[in-house]
Amino acid sequence: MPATASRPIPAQAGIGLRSPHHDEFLARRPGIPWVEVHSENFFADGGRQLQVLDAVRRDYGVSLHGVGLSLGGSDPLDPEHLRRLRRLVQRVEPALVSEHVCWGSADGIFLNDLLPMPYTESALLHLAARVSAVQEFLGRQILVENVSSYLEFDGAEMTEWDFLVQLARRAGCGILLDVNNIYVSAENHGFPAHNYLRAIPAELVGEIHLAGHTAVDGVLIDTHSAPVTDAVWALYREAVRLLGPVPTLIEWDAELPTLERLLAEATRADEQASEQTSLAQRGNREAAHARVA
Amino acid sequence: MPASPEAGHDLALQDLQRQFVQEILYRKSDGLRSQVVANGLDAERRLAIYRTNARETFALALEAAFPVLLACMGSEQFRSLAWTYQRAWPSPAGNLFHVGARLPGYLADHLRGTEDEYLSDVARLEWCVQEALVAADSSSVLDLTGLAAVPPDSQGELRFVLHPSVGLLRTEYGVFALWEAHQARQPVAPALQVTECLLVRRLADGVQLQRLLPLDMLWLEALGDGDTLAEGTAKLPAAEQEQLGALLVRWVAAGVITDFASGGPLAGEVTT
Repeated sequence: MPATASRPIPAQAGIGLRSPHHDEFLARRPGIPWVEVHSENFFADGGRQLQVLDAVRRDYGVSLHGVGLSLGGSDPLDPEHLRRLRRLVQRVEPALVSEHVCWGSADGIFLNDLLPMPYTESALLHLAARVSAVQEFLGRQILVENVSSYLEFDGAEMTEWDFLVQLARRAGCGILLDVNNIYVSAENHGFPAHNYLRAIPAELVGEIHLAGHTAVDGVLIDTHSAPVTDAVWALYREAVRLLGPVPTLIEWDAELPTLERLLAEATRADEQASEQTSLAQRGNREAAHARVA
Repeated sequence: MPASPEAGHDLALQDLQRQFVQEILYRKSDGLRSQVVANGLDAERRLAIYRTNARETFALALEAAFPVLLACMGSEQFRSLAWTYQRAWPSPAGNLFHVGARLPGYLADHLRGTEDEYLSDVARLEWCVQEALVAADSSSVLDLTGLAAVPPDSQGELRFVLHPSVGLLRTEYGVFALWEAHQARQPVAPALQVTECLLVRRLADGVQLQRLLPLDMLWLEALGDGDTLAEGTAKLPAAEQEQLGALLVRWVAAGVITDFASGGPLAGEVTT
């Protein structure tokens, strides 16, 4: 069992590390500061996957990103899933642990998808209580991520971004802001993505996700199978201007590119974030000069 | 476990989620469509996106776990199987690993007596491989000196521990050759009807598959079931019992038997 925590995660870009890249990643040791893995892929009792993660965590910051906890579900939280997650957290001692603002099962039947919540006060109460319970069980704060959605439920009592911010405030969790998901949902439902971004308090955001999407019959689908689009890069630049530098992950899960290509996307995220940070600093200096003058 | 807020706190949410799942898998829901905001795209098309996602995710997980079965069936037939199986045995957990657990039994039930009956043995083998991949690690090496020091009159009470990744499989079809062909990226052909005894286990560089002689199979199965040495030996044909020493040395040397204990049942002992 590892003796020390994985390295911290700075406000720079990392990549989603997937098993086809494991060997090359360990051989090359690329110069990025951190990686994110899907927690459930490491729920095994032993074997190669865990050995890879043990090796990676010695030199890189690690973020554990869950996709199967069904935080917003009405079924009881799965005790076996939680036990395995806690065991993994204890083993890896990750800098970040995250899950989704969604649900995935009913009556014990899992769809293994990130399904949309109704944005109601009672659903918010339910979700906040479960996020609190998970944090208590894990003994640490988690981040919760906004998901892409393809439908909205009637009877919404608040916007998605109000729901997300309220959830973070009530449960004491942080926000993993997926900028691609904001863009996808904004396009699919016709709300301004800028409104979403501007509603998110910087102090709540612990991580940003960037990924590619695919247009199918006029609907944007969050496929993670393509490069980040120009429109999402533009939204990311706006996010950095509003939130400041934040650890940013390039997610790519389907039609996986070469590791080189993935790293190039991370470099691009770093460049865009630095550019925005420099612009913001110059703006602040100019404003200070103007005040002095 | 956390003091989790349980179902029933938000009955409207519970009802909505039940309807959603029923609609995605079985196209059965009362009034779900009326709760979906159309906003330029009707509810049916919006729900169809989620149905496609659920089918795709499930099928991809099965394809990853059963690559030989996929090669035997072809993509189209496999996808069709995945959807009918998903509706019969939907995913039981948030961890997709578990979706394949019931596939071998499902195939056995549906293909018995058909020319595709061998596919259930292929699935059994591949699920055994999946279990080997995620089994616990063990660096334990049986202490032969310690074993030799056990007094003869206590040896019959010894119990042996198999490596946690060990799986023992009896098949009615020759799936070993089929698996090897797939590993070598050769075309796969329907397996012949021939009984096989197979040992599956994880080594440092991956999963190893090995044909066993019936005697080895019988004995390892007994040890895996937690039998004492005396109980396991009694299951061997009388004429073969003199091979006990050779059996023990062979499977200790191979790292399949990793430890022993005297007395009662072993804690956390492997069952096959």
